[in-house]
Amino acid sequence: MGILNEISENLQKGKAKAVKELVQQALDEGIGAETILSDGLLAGMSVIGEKFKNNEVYVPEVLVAARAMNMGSQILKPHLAASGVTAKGRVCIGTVQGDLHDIGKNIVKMMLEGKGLEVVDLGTDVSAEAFVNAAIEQDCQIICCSALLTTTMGVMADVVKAAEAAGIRDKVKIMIGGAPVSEEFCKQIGADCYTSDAASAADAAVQFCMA
Amino acid sequence: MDNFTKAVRFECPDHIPMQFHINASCWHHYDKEALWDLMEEHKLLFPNFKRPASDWMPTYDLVARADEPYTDPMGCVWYTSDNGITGTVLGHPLEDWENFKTWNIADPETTDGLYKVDWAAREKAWADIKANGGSFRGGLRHGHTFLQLCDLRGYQNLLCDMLDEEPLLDELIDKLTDFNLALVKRYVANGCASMAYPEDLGMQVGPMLSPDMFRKYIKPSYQKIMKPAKDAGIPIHMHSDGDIRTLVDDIVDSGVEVINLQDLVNGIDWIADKFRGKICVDLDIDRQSITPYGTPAQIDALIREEVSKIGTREGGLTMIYGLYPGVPLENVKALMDAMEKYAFYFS
Repeated sequence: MGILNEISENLQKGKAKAVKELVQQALDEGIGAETILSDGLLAGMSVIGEKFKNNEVYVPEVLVAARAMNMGSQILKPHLAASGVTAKGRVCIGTVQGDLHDIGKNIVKMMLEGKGLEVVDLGTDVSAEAFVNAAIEQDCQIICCSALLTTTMGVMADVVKAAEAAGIRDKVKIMIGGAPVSEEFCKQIGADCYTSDAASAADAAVQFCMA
Repeated sequence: MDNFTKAVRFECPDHIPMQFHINASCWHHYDKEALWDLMEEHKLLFPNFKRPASDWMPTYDLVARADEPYTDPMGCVWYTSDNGITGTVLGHPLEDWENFKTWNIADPETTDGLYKVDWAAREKAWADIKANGGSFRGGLRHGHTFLQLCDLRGYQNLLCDMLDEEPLLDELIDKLTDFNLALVKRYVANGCASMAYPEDLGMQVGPMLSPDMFRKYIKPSYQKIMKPAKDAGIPIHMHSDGDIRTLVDDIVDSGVEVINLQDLVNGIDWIADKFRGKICVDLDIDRQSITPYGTPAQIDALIREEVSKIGTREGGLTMIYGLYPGVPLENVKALMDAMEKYAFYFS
């Protein structure tokens, strides 16, 4: 098995320490940081993402795989920066104002990073204005809003309106998700995309960034 | 034997026991008078309801008070943004294992883990109930083991601990098991009619922890804390939100006699295939799709389907609904109507 496959395999099993060591070994062998990232770390996360989408693995497996990826990425970061490699796109993400439940948001964040996107995590209880300001200031192509409660999902409509009011609606895509949210609700409030799971959200985000 | 126990033990209940719980946040999201009208119209669901004064408002639990962070006896800090909606823990006292050296678990003689409790007063109240021919149900706090560990460490930290086989986690679980065991023994010693062990172990799809993790870290604790109730012949009730299909065999194997799980998340047919006629299902009626967004006819059809597929003439089915804001009032009425109608499906 080649070292990049080994990185991918270990990442899928959540073996963070092994991934870290293998990434360093790959660098020492002269493999480029971008290749290690795409063919080792992101390849492994891509497998996990597909399995997650097909209900073959669940949140715990995603979480530990993402932890392994993060540890590998830390080693690569200075090398990627030195060679001018940039992320495929930038996304800001948060739970909407009044909603403090962030497990779903954190899983989407992991999946987005697993697709090579840079994520600006705004945390929980984020106002519509804060989403829009972050998108402007951090030059994000996508705003991702998460809600668990029926009482807070309405704030997603405020985010759409705030983006329109700030004049960035044509520059930024707004994605929504969470237990009470649906495709119908997405259309109703004028958001761009609803997905029912985190892996599909990451796929959609990549599509938006590549467009 | 009361009707609930008859249903649990497959002893031909008079009707399917139905519970309709109204979350405290509803009282400021709905027209209170309209909800009270519905409660008055549905005597089976609300047998003891007496219309309060028009300015009545509920007293919110300490973990459900907007903008009033609450630190529980375990040291977890709760926040909520809406009065009545149970908060989430944002302050985890053991987020850093360094804190474990000085952290003390709550005292079961003075708390239930979430609040301070005057056990002497409670025991007197239970004795009075029993002296008057009634019975009381015992129960641990919602989230007694797995969620408690999440609250103490943080969800992601906890899963990493399990994966890394962190030795301090074993120590923490032992302390928590002893704490819960002391509470269970108290309820059992006072003669509770049933014992509830509510948790949340499922996500929208899949479990919150892997089945292997559950077997290794959580199930042994469940077995210990369920044993006193099991030994006393007291029905054991277990609740979990979310998709628990991959965990449910181990949950039942821990000693559970009544399983409370969500209908559509786990699938009506799956629940029927798994449990009908074998284990009593306390079915948690959908609150994510049909009741908030469907029509009254769809709600009626849902309850009919659930009763006909999961219930039996002998019993084995009880149902519960939790109302939260966002469900149209006409759907609330349709659901109450359907629950009262199909409670007598086998009668």
